[in-house]
Formats: sequence, structure tokens, C-alpha cells
Amino acid sequence: MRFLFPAGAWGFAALLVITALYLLRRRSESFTVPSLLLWQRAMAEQQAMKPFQKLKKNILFFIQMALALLLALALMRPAVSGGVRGETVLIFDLSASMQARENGLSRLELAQRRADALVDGMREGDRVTVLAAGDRVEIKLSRSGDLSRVRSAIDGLQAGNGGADMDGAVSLAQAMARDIEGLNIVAFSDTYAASDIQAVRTGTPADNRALLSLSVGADGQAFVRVANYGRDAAVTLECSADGELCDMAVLELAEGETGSALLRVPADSETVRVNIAETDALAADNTRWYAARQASVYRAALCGDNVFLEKAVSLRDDIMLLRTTAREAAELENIDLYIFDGELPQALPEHGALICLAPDSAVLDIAPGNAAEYGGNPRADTADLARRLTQNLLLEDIAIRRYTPLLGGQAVLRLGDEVLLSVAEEDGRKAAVLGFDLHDSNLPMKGDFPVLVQNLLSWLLPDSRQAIQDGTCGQMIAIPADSRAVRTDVVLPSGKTLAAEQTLEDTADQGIYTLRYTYDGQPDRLSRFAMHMENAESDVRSVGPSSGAVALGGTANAGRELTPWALLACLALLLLEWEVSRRVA
Amino acid sequence: MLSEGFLRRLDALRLTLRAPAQGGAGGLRRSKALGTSVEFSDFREYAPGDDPRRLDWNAYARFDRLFLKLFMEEQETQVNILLDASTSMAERGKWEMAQGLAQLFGYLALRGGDRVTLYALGGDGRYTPSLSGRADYMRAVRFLEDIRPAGELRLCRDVQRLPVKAGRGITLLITDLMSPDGHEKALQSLQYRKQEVTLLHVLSPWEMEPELEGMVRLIDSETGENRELLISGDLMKAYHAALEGLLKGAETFCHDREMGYIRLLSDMDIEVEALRALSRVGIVG
Repeated sequence: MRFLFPAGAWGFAALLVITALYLLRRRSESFTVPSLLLWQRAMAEQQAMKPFQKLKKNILFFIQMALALLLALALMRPAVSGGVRGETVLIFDLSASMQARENGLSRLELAQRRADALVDGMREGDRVTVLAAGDRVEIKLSRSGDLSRVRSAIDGLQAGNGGADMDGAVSLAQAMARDIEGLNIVAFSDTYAASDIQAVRTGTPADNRALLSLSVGADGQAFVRVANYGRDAAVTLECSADGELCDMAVLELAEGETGSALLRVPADSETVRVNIAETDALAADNTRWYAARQASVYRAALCGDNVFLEKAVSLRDDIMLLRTTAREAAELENIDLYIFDGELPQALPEHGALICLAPDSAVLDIAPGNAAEYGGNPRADTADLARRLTQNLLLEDIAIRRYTPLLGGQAVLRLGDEVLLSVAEEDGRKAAVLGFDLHDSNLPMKGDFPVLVQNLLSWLLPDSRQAIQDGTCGQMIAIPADSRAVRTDVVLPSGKTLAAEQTLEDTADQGIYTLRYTYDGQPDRLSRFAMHMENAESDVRSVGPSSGAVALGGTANAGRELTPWALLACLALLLLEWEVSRRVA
Repeated sequence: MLSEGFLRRLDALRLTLRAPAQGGAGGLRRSKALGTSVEFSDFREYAPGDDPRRLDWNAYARFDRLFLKLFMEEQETQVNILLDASTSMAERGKWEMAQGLAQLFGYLALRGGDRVTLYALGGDGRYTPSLSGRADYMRAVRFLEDIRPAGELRLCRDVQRLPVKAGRGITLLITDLMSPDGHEKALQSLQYRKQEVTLLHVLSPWEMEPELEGMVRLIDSETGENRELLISGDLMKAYHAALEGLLKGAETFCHDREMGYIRLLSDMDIEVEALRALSRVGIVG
């Protein structure tokens, strides 16, 4: 037995009040009689007839005392301990579907209530670990015996817009169970079910409509796909471009049907937003965003007169090629890529990516070795980056008359044990170094050459239109590096600005993210992308079954509060008191 | 004090109790003692000291011996009025009724030539000297008016201590019988002293039907003792049973021992209802 509100013990003061009232009431009703003789005989006779007559005399007092006692107990919120004991891991599904609401409460809030009831039933000495299973598993509280902290940790949980790594969370809990004997694992989820842990189902099946995708073409038409996870319904779509409502449509969708609609948007719209006007179980998937990509133009300085190289680079229409010499190149400003064919300037430029062909000195940490004669056909290195950069290369019948093996960097092409092509990255600055002169090889004559150049360019200067794809919330986003940018930051949908590192992990919010590169003396370069709720979470029609001991006992097993029973007993005593006073009167 | 008009009505009545006169001064009651009345009884020889006026000279002439002519002498009777003057009698008009009864009996007895002694039971146990003649009626009244009910009644103890002489007489006991030591021994004690005893049991209507409810604290007017009671239907039944036991017990006891018993309520009009009740049971007539 525990008391959830011990301060309610002040209610016992009512016992003193009742006693005082009885004492005062007795004083006020005194009668002087000629003699007590007859009354004494009457009492003696009555007591002889009924042994409990003395008790009956004060029965009202006893009933009222019992009533006050029960009320005070009810105030203290008595609860019998039940449910889990000892050490427990509570796992919460924080996927987007846990935002689905029914009767004003989300599935997560229902889960929090049930978990609170479970914690209420725990005793001193019990310990609880709280695991939040979002896109990643997070330990919110580790083996805490402070039940108030446990409740705070539970109540502070919020469902995300992504999925839930329930398997990961359960695996972590089961790993703990190997070290902790008798560890209870209780998972609160709307879909997750497992036979080897206690799973508590929250929520009931609900109807929902969701926007699955949104794309905007150059012709000024937005294409949107809508799914109906529920009964037949008419779905009203509202389309806004740059904050202004521009079109709307109504789709009649049968149960389980997926439909699409074309909406007109202004051709030069930067952001488009489509939302479902009707209210349904899950609001998070009723809005979809689109951000138009702005192509950036890279400036590349080609030092030398290699036509093959010029043609291969020119295949990228977002690269403006400038032909120059190595000496002049160092004086150019705002160059994104320097291509040095043989000769290097005395000092390498401070910014910009580098492609160096047969350099006579070190580039970043790649240094030329001793010159060597041809011995065989080059092959691609097996590292991931090397695979990416040699993608679609045949590497057949390539002849190299003379070369300089490279030392340092990441090998891309090898000749035996020696490196012919190496890449390096240092402080966001990338460089690719070829260990031979193109004039000493038949490579430029091969189809592999433009492919290799494009592969290198896609790594050195990623296509700004495809820099960051739209993704799902919770997904980690790789931020493309720009060596010329003095600062790179990301503006979240909430308006909060974060300094961007190599990756962006804070993608919990839905909406449009803006990647901003800030240059010294040049306008900022903006790149937008949208993050959306995980589509798989939109179907909230099915709810997994509960399983395990908690499921069998339901909340009753999760420590039961006795306050309602105490209040019921109070009511019964009140009726008894009324009846007794009526009879006495 | 009884009104003049009522006293005049009483002149037509007398105590009809059957106690024989016991000698002493002449009264209106026929005595077993031989006296000077006209009703002849017997002769006896003269003895020195006899009243020479009672000598039968005709007998002396015929027998030459002195004979006294003996008659049934009409003598006075001793009437003792025992009045319960304890605190319990002060409640709810009982004392006024008891006072009125004592005056009534005193008047009837004195007017009938009897000797009357009034005793106050309880309190300081006062009593009057032997009163006789109508002139002493006012003394009796003053005595009664001077009494203030007080103290606790112990009927047996108080009656046994009374200076009532053993000898034939009438004793009227006016009380509510609220005595912890009972009344039987007291009444027997009076009977042993050759008293023709009549018990006048005075109660108040409230005692017959107490108006109480809920939780009460009852305080004994004589002892100050108190009891907390929850007045319930069962308790009231038990009270009435106890009261009935007292009333029936006293009446049966008196009847079995040829004592007079009459129950009077304190709210009765003494000149009408009480007098009628006394007549009905043959105490006055």
C-alpha cells in the first residue's frame, strides 16, 4: 500500500474536529430531572436486553469518525502496489503515428498515462530506465530509483515525425537484461508487438488521409499524391505558393485508395505548400512542402591547353570554364575549381578545389614519388570513395608510357602497388591528383576519360540542383562542403539557425530547411530542401495487440489506485449515517 | 394556602380513614378507650384516683359499693402527615401539590378534633409539635410554607428516624417515591408502629411522559449525578417499563398490606380533580 499524495494526511484533522463537535454538542443538551432513578433502571434493563446498547449510543459518532477517516485516506490517494517490480525498462515508440489523436489524447499521451500508472504502482527501491525509440534510440533516463524523475522523463517525451527504431530499443533493453537479473521490459507502442517482452498497445484504429508526395515541374504544375487510410472521403487540397493561396482541388477517394491531383502554381515560385483542409487522426501528414532548387554556377580555371580536359569539364553546364595559366590563376578570385595541367604555381590558391595532372610538387598531402615506366593496366582501388569515383569505368586497354607514383591521399587508381590517381580532402578543400601527364597516355582517347572527369567533378563540385534531396524527418543530412564559404549554416523550419558541420542531425521538424553559404565579399548562396513525415507512419488503421504480463493485467496490474473505492465506501457510510440519524431522531 | 371558599367546602367533609382513636383529649372519633361519652360500655369498681364524677350513684344505692359507669369515649386521633421535601419534589409543580394536600389533610384533621403532626422528609427533617384545634391550622400552614424542598430523600432511613410514637394513628405519606432505598421498608416500618398508612404518590406529567430526544445529559436534581444518554425508542420503552414497575409495585404493595394508595399528578386542580380523586378512594368523605 502506498500513498500518492501523503499531504492528504492533514485530512485526519477532521477526526479532531468531529470529536470536538461531539463534545460541544453534548454540553449544550443538558436536562435536570427530578431523579435519575427511573432512567438508571431503564438503562439497566436496556443493557441487559442488548449487550451492544452502549455501542449503539455512540454509533453515529463512530460512523462519522469512520467517514472522516476514509475521506482523509481518499485524500492521500492510496494505491496498492502492483505490476512490475524491481528493475524495469520502459520503451516508448516515438514514431509519427504516436501523434494520432483520439478523444483529445494522442497515442503517446495515452502511453504516458499508462506508464505513469505503472510507475505509481512501484515501490521504493525499484529502478527504471526510459528508452525513447525515435529514428534513433535515446536513453532518457538510466536506472533511476527516483520515481518523480521517472515520471518527469516519461511526461517529457514527444513523438517525432519519423519512424521508431523499436527493434533497436528492444535489443538494447535485452542486452541490459543479460546483466540485470529479472529485468522487466515494457514497450509502449501502437504497432510494436513481441512475445518475449511486455508490450502495451496504445490507441485504437483510426481514419487518416495523408499527402505522400509533392513535386513541381517547370511548367508551373504541382503534382500531389494523396492516400486515404480510412473510409470513403472527399479530400480538399489547398495549395499555397510563397505563402499565397494559389489553387485548390477536391479529391474523392475510396477506402484505401491513393489518388493524385495537379495544382497550378506560379512558375517562379520558390516554395510551394499543399495541405489537406479536413481534420483527421494524424495532422502531421496533412501538409507537404516543395522547395525549388536554384542552380549555382561554378567558376573553374583551366591552366593549360589540354583540349580533352576542356571538353570533358565543359560537359557540366553549371561550370563556367576560364582558360588561363598557372601563374595567372593564382591571382583570379572566386574560383571554385583550379585545374593545373603539369605546372603548379609557386603557391597554391588558398581556396577552391584542385585537379592537378602530373604535379611537380605536393598538393595537400599528396606528393609525387619517383618517375617510373609503364608496366601494366591500371585498376580501381576497392575503397568506397574509389569505387564511387571509378563508377562506370571500363579501365581496359589503357596505356601509360611514363608516370609518377603518388604518395598520400586516398588511392583511386592503382598500377600494381603504386597509386596513379589519388584524392584528398583537408578542411573542406578537395583535391584530385593524377600521377601522369595525359600526353603520356591513351586515356583521353578512351571513353573512360570523360566519365572519370565527371566522377571527379561530381565529388569536387557537387551539382547544386541535386545537392540535398528532400528527405524524411529524423534522417541525417550530409551538408556539401564549399571551401570558399566562410560560414555555412542551416535555417530550420522553426526559424532557428544552426551552424552546419558536415552533417545535419536536427531534422525532427517538418518543413523547408535552408542551407546558407556565406562568402567573403560575395552574395550568400541559398539551397533549400524539405523534410517530411515518414509516409509509412500515416496508416494508423491497424493497432498492434498487447502482449505479456502487463497486457494480461492491463492497467489493473500496473498498480491500482484505491481512491475511487475509498470514496465509494465514504458514500456508503454517508448513507448509513443518514439512516441511523433518521432512526435515532 | 388553600382558599377560604375551599376551606368552607371542606367543612362539610371529614377524614374517613378508619384509624381508632387512641385516648387523650376528647375528639369526634369513636375510641376503643372507655370514656365519658353517652354510649354506655361497662361498669367497674372505683379505684382511688378515678374521676368521682363518673360514679354510678344508683349502683351504689343498690349494691353499697362504688362503681364507675364506663362509656365508649369519643377521643381524638393522631394524624401524621409525612411530606417528602427533597429536591425532587421541587420539580414541575409536585411541591405545590404536596403542600396543598398536606394543608387539606391538616385542616380536615384539626377540624375533626384530631391531633396533627407534620413531618418534612429529606432536607433537615423538621416536624411540627402536635397540633390540635382549628386554631393550629395556621401554624400548620406557616410550617408548610417555610419548607423549601432540598436534599436527598432516603425514604426508609428518614421514616425510621421519625419520632412517630408507636400507637394507633393515621399516617399520610406524600411523596414521589424517588428514593434509592425503596419504599417498602418505610411503609412497613409505619405499619409496625400501628399506623393506618395511606400513600399519596405525586408525580409530574413530564415524569409520566418525558419529552427528550437525541443525545442528552440528564442531571439528578437531588444528587447532581449525571448520565449521558442517546434517547432512542428502545430507551423510552425501557423508561416506561421502569415507571410502570414503580407505580404498579407501590400500588400492589399497599393493596396487599391494606394500605391506602392514590396516585396524583402535579397538574391536577387540588380543589376539584385531586379532591374528587381523594373522595373516590374513600380518604375523605
